[in-house]
Amino acid sequence: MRIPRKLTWTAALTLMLVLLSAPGSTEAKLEGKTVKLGAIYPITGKGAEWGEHSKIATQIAVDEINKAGGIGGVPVEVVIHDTATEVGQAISLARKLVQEEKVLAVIGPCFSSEFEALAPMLDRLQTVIVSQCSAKPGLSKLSTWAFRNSLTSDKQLEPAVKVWRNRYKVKTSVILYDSADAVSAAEGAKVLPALFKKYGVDVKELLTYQTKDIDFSAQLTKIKGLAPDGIALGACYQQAANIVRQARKLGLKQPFLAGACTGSPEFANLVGADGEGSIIGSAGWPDDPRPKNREFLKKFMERSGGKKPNYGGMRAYDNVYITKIIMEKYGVTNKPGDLELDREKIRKGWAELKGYDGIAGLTSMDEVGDGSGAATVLEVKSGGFVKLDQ
Amino acid sequence: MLSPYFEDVLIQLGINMILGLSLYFPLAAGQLSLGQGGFMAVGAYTASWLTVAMGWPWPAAFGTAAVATALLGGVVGLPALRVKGIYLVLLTLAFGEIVRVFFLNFEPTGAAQGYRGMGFVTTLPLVAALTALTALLASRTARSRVGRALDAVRTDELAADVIGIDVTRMKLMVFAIGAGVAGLAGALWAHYALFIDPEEFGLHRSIMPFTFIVVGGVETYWGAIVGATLLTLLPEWLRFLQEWRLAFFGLAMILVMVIRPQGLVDHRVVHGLRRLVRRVGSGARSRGGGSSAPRQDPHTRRER
Amino acid sequence: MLVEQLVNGVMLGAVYALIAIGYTLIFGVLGLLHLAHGEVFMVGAFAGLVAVRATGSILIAIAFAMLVTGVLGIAIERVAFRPLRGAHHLAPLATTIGTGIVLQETTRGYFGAEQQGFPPTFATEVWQLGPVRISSVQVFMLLAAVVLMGALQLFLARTRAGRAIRATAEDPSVATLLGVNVTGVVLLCFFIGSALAGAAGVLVGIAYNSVHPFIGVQMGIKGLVVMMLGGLGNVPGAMLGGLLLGVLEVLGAGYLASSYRDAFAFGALMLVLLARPEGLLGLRAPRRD
Repeated sequence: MRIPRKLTWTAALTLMLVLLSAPGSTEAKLEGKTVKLGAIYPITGKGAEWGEHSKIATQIAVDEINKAGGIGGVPVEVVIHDTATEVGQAISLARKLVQEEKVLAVIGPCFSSEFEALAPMLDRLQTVIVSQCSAKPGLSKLSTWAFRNSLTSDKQLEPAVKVWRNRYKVKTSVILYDSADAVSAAEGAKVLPALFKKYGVDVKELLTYQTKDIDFSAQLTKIKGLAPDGIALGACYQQAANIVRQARKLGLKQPFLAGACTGSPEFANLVGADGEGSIIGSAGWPDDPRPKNREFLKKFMERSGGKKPNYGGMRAYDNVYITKIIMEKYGVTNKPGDLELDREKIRKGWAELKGYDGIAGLTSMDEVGDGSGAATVLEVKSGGFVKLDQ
Repeated sequence: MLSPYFEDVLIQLGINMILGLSLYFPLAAGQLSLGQGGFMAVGAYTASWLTVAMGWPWPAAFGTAAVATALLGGVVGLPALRVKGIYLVLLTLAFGEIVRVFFLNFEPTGAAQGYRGMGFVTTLPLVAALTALTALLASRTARSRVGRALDAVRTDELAADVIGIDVTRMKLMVFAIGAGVAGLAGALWAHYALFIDPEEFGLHRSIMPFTFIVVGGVETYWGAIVGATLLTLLPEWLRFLQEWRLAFFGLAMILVMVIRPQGLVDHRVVHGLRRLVRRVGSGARSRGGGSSAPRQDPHTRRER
Repeated sequence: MLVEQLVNGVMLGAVYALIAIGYTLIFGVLGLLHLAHGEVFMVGAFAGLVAVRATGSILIAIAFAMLVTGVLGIAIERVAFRPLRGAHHLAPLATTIGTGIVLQETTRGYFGAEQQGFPPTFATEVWQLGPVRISSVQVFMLLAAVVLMGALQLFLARTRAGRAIRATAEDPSVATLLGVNVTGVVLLCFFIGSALAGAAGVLVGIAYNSVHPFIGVQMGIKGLVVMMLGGLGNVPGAMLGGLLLGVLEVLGAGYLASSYRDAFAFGALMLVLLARPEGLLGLRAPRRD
């Protein structure tokens, strides 16, 4: 028997259409015209680059989700506000999003200083806030509503310290850190000394600077006199890059190690050849060759003018997707009357998050609400990052 | 019913008004301080430490913080008698920066890591009440004998001295009051933000009240109130401009000053409004002069 | 080590001095503070960055930056100072703060908030001079600063326009009587002062690689401190004050505690203001009238 070819095609097409239009598995359809989420990012001020990347990544995620049918069939909308990297603005904008714009959950803020100020308020706001970059240890435990889909500095730095010590045979080190930046100060004063003690690196001296400094010659000349095997930084990428370049100009040749706030490709770009071989503990690798990462990277670079995302951007993208999955899985209804119930469902979803495979790697939430995936060890190589085996 | 966000903006506005008024007091005697951020830091840290570490009730903590800051203001104010004009501006600026560096290194209050644990005390009614109280204090000071004496000190110190005004005491007193008021603003801020770190009290905090009072007008305490209102709400109104809003904010500041160099509110405006509101002459007003002519401060100004 | 730290301090001090000279020139003739001067310095750094990327020449970059900031200085005088003549002396402080915000934010809007580094324009060589290691960058910076400051001194001492500036700074009304075009002198001071800040911006870009829209805030304050240390309106004082502050900061950070660095600068300022308000080289008593 010969079935006409045309008929076969028609049958196949019909079948496809039926499959496509069938209600997606067991997911409940949400109510309303849009699903509203909020975001507070530092788009201006000292954290501008971190905020800008988070904003671009969020928009990419929103566009993708809406193109694919939204959350539970309803388009998602993320209201993004700029904190100007100011604590006061972060507080009032979070309250605006939660109480006035009635968003279901808030992504951000990025900086630990902002997160630390917001977290104690969340028990009153009763809404999930999930940061994409904050790394200062001990902040998520401030509220059951406070989550951070990032790795705290101790987690980011531990594998990096091992790699750095072994590769460069570092027995003695100097730690130079920004005493005016929350996460850098935590790294310099607590995280790094503890890790160095654990891995047998002798700390010759702790030195500090402040975010606004541009001249590090005094500290570097002092380090030259101490002649350690390596220099560890608790610094954001801008100052870290300056320190590395100035160190080379003064003739220092030691290998550098740095943490959370240098996890931006901009660091590799700024240090150039002077930073070759520096080791960074981070929470995401922009050049990850997995297909979904390549796809994201391409879209990101189209919108950022060719810049590669920092880990905050990557994790902001993951955060939108995780929130989508939670909402669908935990039966968020998006009815105005269910707002409080919905928010609680999202909180539960975040608290129980296990093994989400995002572009920043596998992510689970630990008992206090911090991300607990594997850290990434990056090496600066010809103006970019290369991932190292741990 | 106020929206919670608007309530937030109003709380910040109230704190900004108090901060703006804190500068009015020294300025009433012709002294400009760019160190209010430092006093605010001292007030914020003192009050927070008292409520968190010592477990004091907030009224006692706030009061103590304000008084302690005022005393510190007195100590810092002593040199204020020696220098004036731009010298005083820079001296207070230096003081503010030194306070910031001090808290940046002061371990008992968390150093650069900041300090937290405060309870939420700063509600809108409380801020409104304390703002009104501060404004009342300013108004009482301006209209009292002290106010007239301050006027005399500002316009001509030598003459004031000759007619028997204790210039030194006057200046020291208003400087200390201003510091105490800034300390109160700090205490309120700390128990609103629930987290403070030294960088919040840097130079930009000291410049804030200064711009309030210059844009609003230096002649009357209303200037501080109007300036704080405008400059606190303006960035909110400009939010639709997104990342360009600060640029337009700066532009607006220039425009206001070019159009009204004496600030938005001067004596004429205040008197006009009073007349309008009460429809009676303001005969008993102490601070004379319905002139809109800018006041001349002889000690720092040079004539062309 | 001490000698190397001194060299570090002198380098930083040279930058401070170039910024402070602009402050002091403008204060000298107007008696007013120009609080957007730090932002002029920042614009100079960006102008230099653009020029050095386009041409690859550091000398062209300095010249271009000086031209851009010089013109910017004149524009600021027109917008933020001239409309306020005769107004309350605090008013220009507010307009210049506003100008500073506008400059920061437009630069941020145009170049982005990210920090940018100067491309390596000449190879960094490190020379050993006896016990001291000095790099080619350091030598270049010192030479550039010395040449600029020397030229300014010659200009003030030897030319007609320079004498007019000094006369106006001494007493504007007498200068007017003597036939000095005070408006022209003011504009000239804005041009020169801003151009020097622009040059300082390029030097900072070369030496410290740190160019971003908010770099002017801290530098502006340091420039103010230096002007006070040296004495208001006193050009040699600004040079000396700059060197002193640079050395003080570097030695303080190197031998005492680096987290107290700013406290050294402002502590020194407080001491000088209290003990010798006319500044280290100030001859005139401060106005106490």
